[in-house]
Amino acid sequence: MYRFKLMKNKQQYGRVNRRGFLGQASCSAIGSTSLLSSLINLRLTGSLAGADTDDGEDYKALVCVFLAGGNDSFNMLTPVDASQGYPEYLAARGDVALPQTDFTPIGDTLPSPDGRTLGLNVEMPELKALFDSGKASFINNVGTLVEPVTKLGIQNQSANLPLGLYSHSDQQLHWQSGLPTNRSPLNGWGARLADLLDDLNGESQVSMNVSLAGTNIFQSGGSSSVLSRGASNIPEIRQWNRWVYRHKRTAQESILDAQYQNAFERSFATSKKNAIAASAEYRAALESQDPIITEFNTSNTLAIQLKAVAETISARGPLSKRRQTFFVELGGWDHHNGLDDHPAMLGQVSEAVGQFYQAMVDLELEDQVTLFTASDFGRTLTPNGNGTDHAWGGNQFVVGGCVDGGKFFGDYPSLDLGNDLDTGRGRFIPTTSVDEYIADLALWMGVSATNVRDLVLPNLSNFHDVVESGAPLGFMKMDG
Amino acid sequence: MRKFGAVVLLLILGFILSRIGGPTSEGGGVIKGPETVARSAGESEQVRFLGENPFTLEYGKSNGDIKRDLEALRDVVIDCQSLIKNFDAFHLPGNPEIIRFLQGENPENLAWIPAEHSLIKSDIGLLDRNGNAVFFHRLSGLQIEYRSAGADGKHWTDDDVVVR
Repeated sequence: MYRFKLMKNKQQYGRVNRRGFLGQASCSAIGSTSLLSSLINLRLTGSLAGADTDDGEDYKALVCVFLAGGNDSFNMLTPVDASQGYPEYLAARGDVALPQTDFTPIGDTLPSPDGRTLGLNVEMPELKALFDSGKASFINNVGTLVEPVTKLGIQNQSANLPLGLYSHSDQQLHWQSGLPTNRSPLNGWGARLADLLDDLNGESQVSMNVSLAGTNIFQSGGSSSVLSRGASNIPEIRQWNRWVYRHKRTAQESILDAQYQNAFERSFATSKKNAIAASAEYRAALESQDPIITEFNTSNTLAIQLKAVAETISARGPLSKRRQTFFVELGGWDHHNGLDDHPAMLGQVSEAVGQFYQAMVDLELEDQVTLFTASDFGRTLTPNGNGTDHAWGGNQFVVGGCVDGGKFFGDYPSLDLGNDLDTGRGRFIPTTSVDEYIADLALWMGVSATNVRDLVLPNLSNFHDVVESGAPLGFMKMDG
Repeated sequence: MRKFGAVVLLLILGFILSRIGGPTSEGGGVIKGPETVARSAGESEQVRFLGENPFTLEYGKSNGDIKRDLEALRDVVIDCQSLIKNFDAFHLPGNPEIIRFLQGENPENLAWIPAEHSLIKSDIGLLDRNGNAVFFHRLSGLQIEYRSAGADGKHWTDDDVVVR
């Protein structure tokens, strides 16, 4: 009870002294059945959770490609039939509509009674090739939800909505945490995943969670730390290995090796030592591998990040890894002021993803690595002039040898303005929740259905009974 | 007898003073009478207009400018967020929705902005003093960037006036 009051009132939090905080923190770790306590104790339950976890020999990795700002995904994938779908698109999108010839039809028509044919933006030939070869699929109209909502519920203000709907930072948090009713989530679903799966990895100072795009909530907050590196460089203390600075290094090491009575000092020294050791181990692991033979476009910032991911994956052996998560990001998708560069950005994503998949093929790991996209939100169907504004549901895609490719999952919405999903200006209520999207990926990584429901995605039960019915969408081949 | 008289006098005095001050809200602050509430805040008798505020005093006034207008708007939104703590839980995608919320379409039926204003159009929302819609850029659940299109009338150009 007292811990709950402490967390609820931020002003109280600031006035608690250190002794009080430590006492309360320890109390909070014992006995509480709240989600917060469950998350803090994931590591303690790791051995139990590990017993439920797939103990296959295979390596598996998830690569999150976050399109920061809100991708205008209805100009990525759109209906292209002249008789149905495209006229609605044209009417709704006005000045930001693309010609029909800017899309190339892909896949089968949507199931009856829909019957529309979807087209992929022509700037994404690599993604089209992956789709056509059964290595990529689209998940349509995905977005953050607390529970299923209706337009009427929104209009009469009875709907339970994700906090900060239509705002960048909150929606990014919700996508990465899977906790849409939490203003300050303590951890991401990737971190919770890692806490359950890290026992499958061997001893290593290097985290199973690697970020090429700095701090992110997706991988943060769990027992496993995050190795954050630049796309072109490996983190290290400058001059650490230079002979001329050996005395400084010796002094630093003696400071870090000292015995500290103070818990915070001890913890800081330990984490600093671990970071230095991790950096050295990581560098050594990468240098022990042959260079990646796949060509990546070094002027493509996303491709550079994915190349670093590929290099890290190639070093999974020396790093003793059987499970890893990666986070890369491409910003600039907040197209309020115009969509002129949007096709080129789609092309950038397509090229990078295509090169990354080829790298996985070259490493003979294409069936063991799955790449998925995420973004703050979709964008308004109607323009604001030259650009589009924040919306809700949008289209994502997944790539990998274990993807049940060449298909569309979820429901592609009607683009008729004012329909039952349209909350205004073509801001569509998602028909697939982020939780359902992520659940398929978590199950594929080897987390049991029970743990997906109880520990990784606590909101999932509002949409789908994963224990009874398995994967919500089924876009991953589970025997892969 | 004297005490009785004093009590009666005090009661009469209190009655007179209360009539001068007008009806009070439960919180003790003075609000306008019912007829003024209806006029200022809309047709619903349930909507309670919270009285003069930076928006009503400054927005669009001849002695102001766009920047000051947006600052006044920002101030009332912050005030709204302080009274309606779960502001970020509502469906407020943009201009018309946020303005209607401030006009009393909220669970507390509190209004900061009058129903009728020369720079509010029901289908568009709030305009700047150049007649262009103000853009509410949701940065987070509670943090909003307020944008005027500026003199060129086009958003997201160099002459935009932006307030956070």
